[in-house]
Amino acid sequence: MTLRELAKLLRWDVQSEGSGLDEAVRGGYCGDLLSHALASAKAGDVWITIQHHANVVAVVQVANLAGIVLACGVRAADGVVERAREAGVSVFSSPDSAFDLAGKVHRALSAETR
Amino acid sequence: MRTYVADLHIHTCLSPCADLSMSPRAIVRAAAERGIDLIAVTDHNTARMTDVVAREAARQGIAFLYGLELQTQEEVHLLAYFDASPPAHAFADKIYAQLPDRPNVPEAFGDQVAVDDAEKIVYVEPRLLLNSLRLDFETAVAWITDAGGLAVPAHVDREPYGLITQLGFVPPGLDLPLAEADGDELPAACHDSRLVWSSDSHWPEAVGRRVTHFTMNAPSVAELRLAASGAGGRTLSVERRLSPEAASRRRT
Repeated sequence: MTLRELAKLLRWDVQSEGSGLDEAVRGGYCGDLLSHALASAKAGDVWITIQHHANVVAVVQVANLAGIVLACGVRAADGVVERAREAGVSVFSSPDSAFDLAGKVHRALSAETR
Repeated sequence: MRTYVADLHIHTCLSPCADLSMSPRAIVRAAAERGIDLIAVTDHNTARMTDVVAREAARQGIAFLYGLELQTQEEVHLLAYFDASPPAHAFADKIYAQLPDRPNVPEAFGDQVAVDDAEKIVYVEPRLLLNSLRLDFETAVAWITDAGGLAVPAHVDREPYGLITQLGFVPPGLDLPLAEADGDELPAACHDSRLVWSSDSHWPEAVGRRVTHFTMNAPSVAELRLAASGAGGRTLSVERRLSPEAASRRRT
C-alpha cells in the first residue's frame, strides 16, 4: 500500500505532500525521541509521533522514512510544514492516538499481505 | 565584587543548527557591541571551539567560561560550564565516547565546522553532534559536578529538549543551583534552582538578546554557585535586551 492510499484510507489530514507519496509503506515506527527514531526506524516506515519539532523533517530524510503522521490532533507549525515541503517530506495529522494509529496502520498493511 | 553582564549560552559554527557566520570574531564582536562582560560558548556535545573563542574573548577583554550543551538520552539539553580548558576538554572527550557513531548529513542537519583564529576551517566534525548521548540526565549532572563543573539545565520550559517538557519534573537530589528558562519564571517544579537567562544564539544578531547580571567576585563556576545562593551579598537578575524581532535572523 502506498502512503497516499494509507493516508486516504485512514483519513489523515495532509499538511505536506512529500515526494514519496506513491511509494509503498514498509511498516511503521512509534516514538517521540528523535535520536531513537534515527537509530530504530527503518526505511519506508511511516513514523507515528507527537514530536513536531522541525528536526523531524531531517530525521525522515536521513532515515529515508515514508513520512510522519502526527497523533492526538497535533499539527506541525507553519515553519515546519514549509521545511517539510521544501525537503519533499510528507506530514499528516490525525485525531487518533498513537495507539489507535499504530493499530490501524498495522491492520491495513497486514490485510494487504494476506 | 563587580557585576558581570553574562550570556552563557552561545552556539558556534560547529553546532549543525547554528549559522556558519557564528565565528569567534563575530560572536565576540556582537557580545562587545551589546555590553556583555562574560560569555560561554556551548556547542552540542562538544567543546572543540572553546579555546579559539576564549582567545578572541581575551583579546577583547571579555571574560569566558568553557561550556558544552549536552543532550542526554531523554533528549534533555543540559549546559555544562568549566573554568579552564583542560577540564572542559577532558569532560568533552568523556562524553564524546557516549555519542552514537552516526555520521552527520550536512544537507539535513547543517554543517559542523571548526575554525581557527583566522576564521579558516580547520576541522569538519564527522559525527552528528545534535544527537542523544548514551547517558541519563542524573548521571550527566553527576559527571559535570565531579569534573569540577556546573550543570545548568537549558530552556527547561521549551518543547522539545527542555528538562520539564521532557521529564515532567526535576529528579530530586540533583546539584542544579541555576536553571535556564525561555519564560519569565521557572516552572514550579524547578523551585530549588535560580532562574538565569542567556541568548541560546545561533546567529550573531541574537547574541546578548537575553542576559543575566551576576554580582560576584570573579567569573568562575564557584562564584556562579555562590551567586545562586546569594552568599556574601552576591546577586543575580535577568534582563531581556532585544525583542525577538530585533534578535531574529537577517534574511538575505
